[in-house]
Amino acid sequence: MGNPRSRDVLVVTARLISPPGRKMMAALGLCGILALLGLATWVAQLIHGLGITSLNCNVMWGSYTAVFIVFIAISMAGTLVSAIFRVTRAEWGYPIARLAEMITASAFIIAVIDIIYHLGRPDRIIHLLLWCRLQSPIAWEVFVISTYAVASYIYLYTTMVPDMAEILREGRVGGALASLYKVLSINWVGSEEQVKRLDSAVKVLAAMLIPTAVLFHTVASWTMGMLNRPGWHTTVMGPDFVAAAIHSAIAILLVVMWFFVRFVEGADAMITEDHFRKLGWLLFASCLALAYMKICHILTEYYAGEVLKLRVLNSLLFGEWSPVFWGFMVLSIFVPAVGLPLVLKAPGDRAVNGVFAIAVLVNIGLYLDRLYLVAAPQSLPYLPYRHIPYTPSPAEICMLLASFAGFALIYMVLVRVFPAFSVWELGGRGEGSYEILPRNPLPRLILLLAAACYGVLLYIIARFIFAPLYGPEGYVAASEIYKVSAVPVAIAVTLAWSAIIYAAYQLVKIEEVGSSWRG
Amino acid sequence: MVIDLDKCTGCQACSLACASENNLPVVPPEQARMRREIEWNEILLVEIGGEEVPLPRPCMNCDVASCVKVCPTGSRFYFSEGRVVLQSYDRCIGCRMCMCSCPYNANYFIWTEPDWRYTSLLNKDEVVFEGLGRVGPYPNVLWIPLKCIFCFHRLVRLKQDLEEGVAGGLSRIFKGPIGWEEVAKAIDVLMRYLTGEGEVDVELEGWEIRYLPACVSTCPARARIFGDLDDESSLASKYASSPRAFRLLEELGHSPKVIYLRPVRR
Repeated sequence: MGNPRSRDVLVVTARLISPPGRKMMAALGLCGILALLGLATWVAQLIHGLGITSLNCNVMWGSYTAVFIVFIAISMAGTLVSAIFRVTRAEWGYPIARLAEMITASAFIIAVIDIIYHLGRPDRIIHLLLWCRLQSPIAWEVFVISTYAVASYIYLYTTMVPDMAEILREGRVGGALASLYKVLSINWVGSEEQVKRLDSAVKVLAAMLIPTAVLFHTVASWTMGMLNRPGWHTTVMGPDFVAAAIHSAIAILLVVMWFFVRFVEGADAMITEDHFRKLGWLLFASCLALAYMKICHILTEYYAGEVLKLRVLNSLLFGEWSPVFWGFMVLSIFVPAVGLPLVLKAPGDRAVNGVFAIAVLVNIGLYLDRLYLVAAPQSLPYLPYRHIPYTPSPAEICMLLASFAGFALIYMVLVRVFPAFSVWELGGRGEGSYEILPRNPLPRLILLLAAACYGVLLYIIARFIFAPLYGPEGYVAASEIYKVSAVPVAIAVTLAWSAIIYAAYQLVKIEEVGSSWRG
Repeated sequence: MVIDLDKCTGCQACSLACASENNLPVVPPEQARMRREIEWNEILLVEIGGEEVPLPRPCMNCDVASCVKVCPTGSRFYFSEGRVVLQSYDRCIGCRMCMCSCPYNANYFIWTEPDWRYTSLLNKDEVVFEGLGRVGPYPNVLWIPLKCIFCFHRLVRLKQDLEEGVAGGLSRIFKGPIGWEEVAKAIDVLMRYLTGEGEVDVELEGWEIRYLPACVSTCPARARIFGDLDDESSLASKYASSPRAFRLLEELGHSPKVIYLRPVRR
C-alpha cells in the first residue's frame, strides 16, 4: 500500500492537537469521573488499609495484582510492536507505531500506580531503592520496569522530535503548547547529520527494547513462577506471560485504532482497512501462540498427575475457578480463533468492526486469565486451611474500572498534546525555515538524569556483587545460590541503560548541530 | 522446636498464649470469617496414619526460608546466631511476597486496623536492631505481614538478664561473658526443669520458664520442646532424633526447624 501524502498527515496530526470537541469532552469527563472514583477508593484504602479488598490470609495477591499485570502487559507490547516495525523496516506499520508507543507511555503510569496501591505500606516505597536486594524477583521487576519505562519514554520522545519541529514550523500550534514544542524540539533543523544521529539513536533503542520487553514480562511472571506453589511454579509461566502480553497489546492497539478511525476526522487516510486486516491476522497468530502455552501447561501437568498440581487444575477446569478459566478460554482464545478468520473474510467496514469487537472481548478475557493465574493457586494452599472462595470486592472492581478509565484519560491527553502520527517518517519535510533557540539545555538534562540513574543502578549491582551480607550486626540476608538468578537481569538492565545513555548522547549532539546551524 | 503430636491435645492454649504474648489483634467475626484472623500459632487438623490429629503450626523458621529469599528490601532476615527468621517492622513495604512464597502460610497480614481496648495490658517488650528498626512484638505497625519469631524478644531478655545476673536460678550457673551459646544452654536447663527429664543441677525459682517461648511455657501437656538443634546434648536434639520425628513438607527443601513427633497408634 502507498503511504498517505505528507500534507495529510500533518493536517490530521495538527487537527488532533487543536482544542477538544464536544464528544471528546464527554469522553474525557466520563473517564475523569471513573478515575476520581478510583482515587476515592485509594483514599479509603489509605485510611482503612487493605481490609477493603477481599484479600485474606489464603489469597494474598488478587485482583490488584491482576490489574497490574494487565497494564504492564499492555505497556510492554506497545513499544515492542513499534520497535519490531522499525527494526524490520515494516513501513506499513509506521502510521500506527506512534499510537502503540503512546499506549505504552500511558499504560506505564497506570501500572506504576497499580503496584503502589497494591502495597500494604505505599509510604515506604523508597525502601525498595534504599535496601534493594537484587535476589528478590520484586527487585528485578522494579529494575526491569523502570528501565523499560525510561527506554520507552526516550524512544517515544526521540521519534517525536522532528514532528514537533515540523508542526511548529508550519505554525499549527500556538500559545503554551508552542513554547513547549519549542523546548522539546531541541533545535531540530532536519540537517543530514541530525537525521543520521536520530536514526542511529532510534535503531539502537529499538534493538535494545525488544529483548528488554521480553525480559520485562518474563520477570513479571517470575514473581509468581519462581515461588514454590503448585500452579505457579512452572517453566511455561514466562513464555505464557509474554504470549498473553503480545495478545493483549495487539488487541488494545486494535481498539485504539478503531476509535481513531471512527472519531478522528481524516485518520482513515492513514489507518486503513488493510491495517486492521494485518493486525487482525497478527491477533489470530498471538491467540494461537497463547493457546499453545495453555495446552502445554495443562496437558503436561494433567498427565503427570502430581496430586497438588492436579488439585489446582481440577479447580480451574471443573471446580471453583472454572467460570473464570473458561470465561478466559472462550473470550480470549475460542472467540478470536474461530471469529477472526470469519470476520476478516467480510468486506470493508464489517471486518473493521468485527475485529474491534473481538479485540474488546480478548482484553476482558485476559483480565480473567490474570485473575485466575494470580489467585487460584493461592486459594489452594499446601496445608489444610479453611477454604474461602475469593471474589474481588467492590473496591477492587472500582480500581479495575478506574485503571482503565485513567489509562484512556492519559491516552487522550497524550494524543491531544503530542503529535499522534509520525510526520517525518510518513511524509517528508515541507518548505520554510526552523526557528532556532540560542541554546537548549533539555537534552543535556536528560543525559545527566539518565547518567545519574545509571550510576544508582551500577551502585546497587556493585553492592549486590561485593557485599551480599550487608546490614547491621546480627543480620544475615539470604544470598548464596539465589544470586545467580539475578545475573541475567542485571546484565540485561545494564545493557539497556547503555542504550538509553547512547540515545541521550545523540540527542545532545542533535541539539549541538541545531544550535550552530547556519542554513 | 519439637512438637510431640502424641502429647498434644489440641487445647489451643499455645495459640492463646502466643496471641497475648505478641499482642496479636483480635479481629471481628465477619473479618475472621474471611480468613483474616491473626494466629501466629494456628492449630490445623491433619490426617496422619488414617487419623485426624491436631497439629499446631508455628512459623517453621526454616533454614532455607523462602520468605527471606524473596524479600525485596531485606526486612526478612536470619538472625545470625541460630538463624531464627526475623522481620523488621520498620522496613517492610507490605508487598506480601513472603506470604505468597511460604508453603506453610505462616505469615499473617494485618488487614484492618485492630481494636486495642486494653492498651495498658499490651506486652511492651521491644527489640530494636540498629539500622533495621523494631523486630519485637510491640504492635503499632499496620498493614504488613508478621509471623512467629519463636518469641525472640524473650530470648533477648534472657541474654540481658544473664549478663546483669538477674535471671533467678540461672544466674547461678551462667556467669562471666554471655553469648548466644550460653543462652541456648540456659534454655536447655529450663526445658529439663519444665519436662522433668534429665537432671538439673541447680535450684530454680520457677518463674524462669517465662524466658521460654510463650507456647512452650504454656503447653499443659508439655508437648513442646524448645532448644538448640545443633547442640547434640540438648533435650530438643534428643527428641528430634526420635524415630517418630518428621517435618512438615520437608520435600520442598526449606529445612523447617519445627520437628513433629508422629502420634503413636492407639
